[in-house]
Amino acid sequence: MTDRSTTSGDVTGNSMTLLQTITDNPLDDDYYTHAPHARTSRGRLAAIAVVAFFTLLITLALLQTRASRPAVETERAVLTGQIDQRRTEIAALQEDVAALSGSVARLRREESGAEALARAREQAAVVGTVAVTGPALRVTVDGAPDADAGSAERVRDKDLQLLVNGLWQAGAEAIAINGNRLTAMSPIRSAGEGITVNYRSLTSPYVVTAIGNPRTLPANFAETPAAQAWSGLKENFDMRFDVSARTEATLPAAPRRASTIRNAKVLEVEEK
Amino acid sequence: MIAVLGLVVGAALGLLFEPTVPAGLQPYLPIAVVAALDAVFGAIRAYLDGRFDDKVFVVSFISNVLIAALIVFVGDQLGVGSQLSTGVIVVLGIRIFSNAAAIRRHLFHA
Repeated sequence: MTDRSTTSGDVTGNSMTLLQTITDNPLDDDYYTHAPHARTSRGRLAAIAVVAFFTLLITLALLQTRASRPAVETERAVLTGQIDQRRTEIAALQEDVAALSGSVARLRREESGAEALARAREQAAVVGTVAVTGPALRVTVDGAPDADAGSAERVRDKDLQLLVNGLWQAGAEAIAINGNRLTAMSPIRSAGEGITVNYRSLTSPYVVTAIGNPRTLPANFAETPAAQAWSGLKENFDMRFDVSARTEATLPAAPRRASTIRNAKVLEVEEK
Repeated sequence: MIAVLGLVVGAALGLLFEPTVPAGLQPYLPIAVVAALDAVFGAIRAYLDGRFDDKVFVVSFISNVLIAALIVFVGDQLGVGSQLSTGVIVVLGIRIFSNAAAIRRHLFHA
């Protein structure tokens, strides 16, 4: 305490000295600059007032801090509520996203389904499971009028197969025999006295209708071995072989049993 | 006796009337309390040193509170109010601890 003046008089100005000064002189110098006054009642009153004021300050600060605490807590509760609300909103939005991506996937599937349907229609026309219409060539064949049963002058399955093959060769796109549409699985074979197509017995005369290009199909067919063979049959055995072009003919769909696949499995669907 | 009387009166006033601090002065209330605390500890130490003086106590108390509030006010106006508050509290805190140590030495001789 006695060397207070020397330490406080340090004017080097560095911060360590500043801190040193603060720690060395915690007490106001005022108390030591002059001798204590005699205690007066006025001074005592003033001291009481100051202590009272000090306590008042502390009490006020205390009260104020305590009063502001609920406000802080309320604010925090409000913020927490907002956070929860936002979380719920986010969850709802994510559900929306999931639902929407689901419907996007579904729509995409449906879209590709439409394409697949178009392709299936196209292929059904090729295979023969839908009715088709267009310009056609009609070939009517029959045995000789006076042919006996089982004689060579009757139409046999091989004759019809030859004829149909000739029509395919000439560029026919769809063929029906007596209204029985041929598919890739349609057999033409003899069954007893008659001929069956698509497992249905046919009776003569046999009318073979082939849809194809009206400009090329008749000429192409006339050049095929099948047409020449049938011309020979007509010449030699007096069998019926009439070829006529039709501007419009409708071929029905093949029956279901002629186009049902049970064992062949599709390896993979090729996306085009 | 003086101190106890003042304490009782001040606490009673604060608790009974709960005067509201003006909104403009509210930021300076805590710093004023710390400054007052410093003056009070100084006074206690001086009292134990046998050098307590009413007048010095009153003047130092009021000037401490006013200066601390003024510093924070100026800091607020300059935009460095919180930093200046920290500075004031550090300085006053060091003084309070030093005074408390002196008081402790006086009371417990340790």
